[in-house]
Amino acid sequence: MSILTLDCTCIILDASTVISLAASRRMDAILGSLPVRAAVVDITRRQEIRYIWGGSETNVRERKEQIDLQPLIDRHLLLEVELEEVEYTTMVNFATRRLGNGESAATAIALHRGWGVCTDDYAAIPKLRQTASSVPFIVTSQLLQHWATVSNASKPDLRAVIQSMRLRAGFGRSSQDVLAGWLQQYLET
Amino acid sequence: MASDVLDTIDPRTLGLELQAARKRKGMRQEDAARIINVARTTLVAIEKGERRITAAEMVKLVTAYDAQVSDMVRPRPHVQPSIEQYRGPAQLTAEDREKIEPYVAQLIEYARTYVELEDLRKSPLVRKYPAVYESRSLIRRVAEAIAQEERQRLFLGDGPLPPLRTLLEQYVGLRIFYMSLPKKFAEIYLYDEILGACIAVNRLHPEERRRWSLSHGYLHFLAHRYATDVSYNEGEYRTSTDEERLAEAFAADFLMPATGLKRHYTNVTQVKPGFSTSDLLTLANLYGVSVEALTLRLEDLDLLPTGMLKSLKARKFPIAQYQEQLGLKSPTVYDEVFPHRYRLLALEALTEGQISEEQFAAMLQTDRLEARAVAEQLAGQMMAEAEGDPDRPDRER
Repeated sequence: MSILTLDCTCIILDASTVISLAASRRMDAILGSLPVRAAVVDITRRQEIRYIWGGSETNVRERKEQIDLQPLIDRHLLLEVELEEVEYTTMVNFATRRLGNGESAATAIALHRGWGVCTDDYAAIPKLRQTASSVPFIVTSQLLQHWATVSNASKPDLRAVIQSMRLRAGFGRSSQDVLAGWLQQYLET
Repeated sequence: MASDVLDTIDPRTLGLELQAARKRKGMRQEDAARIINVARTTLVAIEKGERRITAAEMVKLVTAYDAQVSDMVRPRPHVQPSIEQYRGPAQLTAEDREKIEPYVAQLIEYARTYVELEDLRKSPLVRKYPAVYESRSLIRRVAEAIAQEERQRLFLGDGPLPPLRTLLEQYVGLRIFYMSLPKKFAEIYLYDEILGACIAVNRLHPEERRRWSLSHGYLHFLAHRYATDVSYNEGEYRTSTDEERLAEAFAADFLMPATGLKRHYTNVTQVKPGFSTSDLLTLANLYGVSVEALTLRLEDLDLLPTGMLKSLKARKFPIAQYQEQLGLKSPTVYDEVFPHRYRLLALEALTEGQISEEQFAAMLQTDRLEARAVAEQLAGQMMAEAEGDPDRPDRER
């Protein structure tokens, strides 16, 4: 396992990452373990970060559970950021390339502020990299692996976290995940 | 990226896109103006393309409209269905017009996204449109003639129809969406050269009613193709125009052709005396129509005495309870908002990296969590279909 090294002071979490982390039930611990600050764009929070599956383990999809980020913001584990004037312009420019509101806003802010972006939207990543080549992009499994390493999480604990993310947010299904092999060992029952 | 893309976009086109997004949201100009702290007159000027919008204003407006900035600023198919004049059972009241307009705008947007997905996947919808039928003659005769001809053209015989939505999508090439319209509205029909014929059916109605509405809309496509139609739910109005009377008569003929219905009736009455209420309920279920629609049709064909429906209603006959006792259930049909093909095209575009998960969710008008679940379910279906496809190239023979 490796320790996450990032050439930035803050990482913006896309909706795909926030939803998966919320489903881990350990989001506070994971964010608290990071070597950089974590942020979420206000537009993304308002428009996209809504629910995880909230039913019982045998039928998780019987109901949805609202994601509440306010406690994390209040504890300074997560920063909510708004676009500044020039970032709006960049966001609109990015949007011409068939990018969604959340991903173009996150990338615009990251580009101007020298931050990074964490997203599991594998369809968007190549386009985002092409659009803003200087922005570091990482995926949720890298945050997870970092937390597991620095907190010395036990295998059963890590398995429970990853399986909860899979069950309640559909996390970890992409074969394009850079840590797909590592994730798989915890997803197998 | 130093330059501002907003300087390069035609402000009138952008203004129209913003206006359409506002209408889809059902938001008034003064409320939209308040979001960006400008006067209503300024918002009007923006929508007319007379005042350039800033990037910040655009993002604030578009997110308040629950739309995507990308949909405003990238080149998209230019569509212009004739929606200025709604044809309908009667002149729409200003109040009804205000109620239905967001749904008409939404239908146009759904169809436009559908066309874009087809362009992305290089998979255009095949249109098998017949020529527009001549409808200037006796309504009942014209309705029956068009219904017979369409049944022949589509090889449908004279029995009960298969699932109508699938039939009209696959074999005619209509774009059909099941939308949650206000209760009093049954259907919207519109046409545009690029989009083709589009129908929205009220998803909140029972399947029998939806089939009727779809048939009604189909007649407008067949006979009054180039005008927009908004139809009300039965009981909400008295059919007042020839066009609407024709659409209603066609729905009856298309769903319940006289020859087939008479044959079924004879089959029943040959083996036992009379035609019971149970027979009526069973036949309505077989044809996928309401008991009311079937009773009226049988009365019309002189197979039941006139006034039967009135009598059933007067007796407050518990239709639903009786249907349950007989084990007659509405058929399970595909009633998602978007056509199955639309969803598959969106999944293909997602899988091929042409659209992001965020856009996939926006295209299906759902949240990210549901979008993941839908993608997972559709991928499973696609895999199962591929497994069962005998023409699959890697299949052993």
